[in-house]
Amino acid sequence: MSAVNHKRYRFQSNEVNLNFEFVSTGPKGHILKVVRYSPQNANGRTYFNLAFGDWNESENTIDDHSTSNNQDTRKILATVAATVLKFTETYPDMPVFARGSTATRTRLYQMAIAANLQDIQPVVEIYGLTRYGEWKPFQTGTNYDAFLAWRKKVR
Amino acid sequence: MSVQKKHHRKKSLKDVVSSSVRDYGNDPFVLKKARESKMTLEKHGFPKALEKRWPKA
Repeated sequence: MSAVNHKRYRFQSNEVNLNFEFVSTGPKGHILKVVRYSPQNANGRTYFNLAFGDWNESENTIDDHSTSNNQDTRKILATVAATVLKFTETYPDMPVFARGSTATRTRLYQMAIAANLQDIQPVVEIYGLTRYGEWKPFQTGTNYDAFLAWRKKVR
Repeated sequence: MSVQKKHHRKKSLKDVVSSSVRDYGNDPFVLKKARESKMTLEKHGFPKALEKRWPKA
């Protein structure tokens, strides 16, 4: 079992592991978090886009701009990282694209990857899109505009 | 005097598959993000390391 598990929330997923839900618990109460992997196509290649945000019950939609301040950012990011592992385990040939709605959110994704690198890197290949528009292997301490991850081939 | 061993069980997380999880595939935010990702990848392409994994057309 991955060390990520010790500091993350338990998630629920649907049967095909495309929709994930978990509940953030903290001073602001219980907040439903949603991760969705959507099939998409670019340049004739299929990949999945990762969308992540809070469920807004009154608007009946996912809200990526809310700041819940539930003092559990690391735990949330570890949970999102765990969903990536689950998704790529289910769909080992499918790459996952991730980018936050703002530069700050993208930095959060970067933090999530960096903080959970020990658990992720043995099984998942991660590339970052540099500001020069080039895909490079993920390195801690470098800022990226977006990320692509895919399951490493079992040798 | 007996020495009782304390068994500390690590609390394992049991993620569950549930039919109660909604399908967010048509959520406007999800659709917007997917469109944006497509634009980015059509502009910059995929990493070469990933291209090598795909069978040649």
